[in-house]
Amino acid sequence: MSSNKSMRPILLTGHERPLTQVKYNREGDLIFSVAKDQHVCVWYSSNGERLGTYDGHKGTVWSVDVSLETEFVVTASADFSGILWNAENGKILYTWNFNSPAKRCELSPDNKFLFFLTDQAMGQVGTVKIFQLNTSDLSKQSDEPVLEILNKGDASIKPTVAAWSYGGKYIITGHADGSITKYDATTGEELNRVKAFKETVTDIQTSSDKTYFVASSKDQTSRLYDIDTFELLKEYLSDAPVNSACITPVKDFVLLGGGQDAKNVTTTAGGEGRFDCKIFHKIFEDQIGRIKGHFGPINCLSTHPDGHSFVSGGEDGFMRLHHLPKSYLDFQYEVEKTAEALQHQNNENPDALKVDA
Amino acid sequence: SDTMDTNAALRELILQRKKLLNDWKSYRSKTIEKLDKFIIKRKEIELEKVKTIKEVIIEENEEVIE
Repeated sequence: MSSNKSMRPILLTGHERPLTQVKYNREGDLIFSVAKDQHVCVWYSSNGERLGTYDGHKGTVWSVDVSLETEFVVTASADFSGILWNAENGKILYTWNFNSPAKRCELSPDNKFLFFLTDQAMGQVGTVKIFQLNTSDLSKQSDEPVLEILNKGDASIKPTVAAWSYGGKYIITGHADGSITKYDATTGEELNRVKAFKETVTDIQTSSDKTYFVASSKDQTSRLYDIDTFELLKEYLSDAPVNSACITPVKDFVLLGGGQDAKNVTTTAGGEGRFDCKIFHKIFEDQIGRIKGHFGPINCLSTHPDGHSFVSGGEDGFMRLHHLPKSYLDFQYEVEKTAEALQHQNNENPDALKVDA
Repeated sequence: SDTMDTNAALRELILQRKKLLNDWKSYRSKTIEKLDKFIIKRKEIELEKVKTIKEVIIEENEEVIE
């Protein structure tokens, strides 16, 4: 049963409240996590040991991102602020103050810009605020965004999540009414809008090259879209609200996490909460596996940049770090094996092609 | 190929998956090509900016010689 042993997850205990976002750094040696307990934590991805915390927020921390070289960390919080931290010593480099909670933040692919998504609440309009980062002196930032993308409707269509595309070219947003939108990141012009889901969009995560993305929704589905064409590529059907979804590098898989909201669990048949993480085949859209463990809904998911591990953060306050066994990484459909074998044959023996021709 | 002959439904499924796999591969290769062009274009734009700065400096040198 060695495969079972290697699959045993590492429980990351440290947060006292539901997790809101988890993220690996580019190198993959560290995991950053934020929760409703106001703390930002950083962990070693190899053994799950906590390396440290960043203290300074006074409310739920909704979102976290880390720079390419793990020099600085950025967070968005319900305390109406966004903070730029020195990753190494946890010191606050800069604080942006807003008029409503900051729900999401993300650095542009080149780390020259970042956005904060501020909530449509307290009489404010839901807005994506893009700031230019002063990288020569991180403690001296501008309070003036270079661009603001405002929600054009009422709170029922407010943006809930957002992400950068390849080259920092576009901003993709997910909305409370289930629609997804693409904006030009330099002009703010709305380029595409699709009613992708029946209910609110809970997460948007891009592929490694940021040319396509997966979006998840409370309507129990998740969908894969091309960024340039905004064409629907794939759809994954779950049996519970999906709170987070991500695309695994190396393997053609998509991970979905969610579960029944606590208030609805007792009304569900059999009392099942369906708090498992589901593995789907990205291309064939089939569910090929599921990983149980959390005893509340999964709120957030993130995969290691080389695809060998992933981490989930739950409403139960725990993080579960899974190092994937060889059987998972070796798994292939027959057609995939055949296709790979054919490619090898063609690569290794170019003469074989000539004979056929 | 034996199972493909005996079970029509399975045959259909395998062919369908083969098609999906090929469609995905061609989608990805097109995207990667597009992305490469985009990156090259960005680099060219950056290089042009550098060239403009060089031209200005050369003009200043000519004035000193006179």
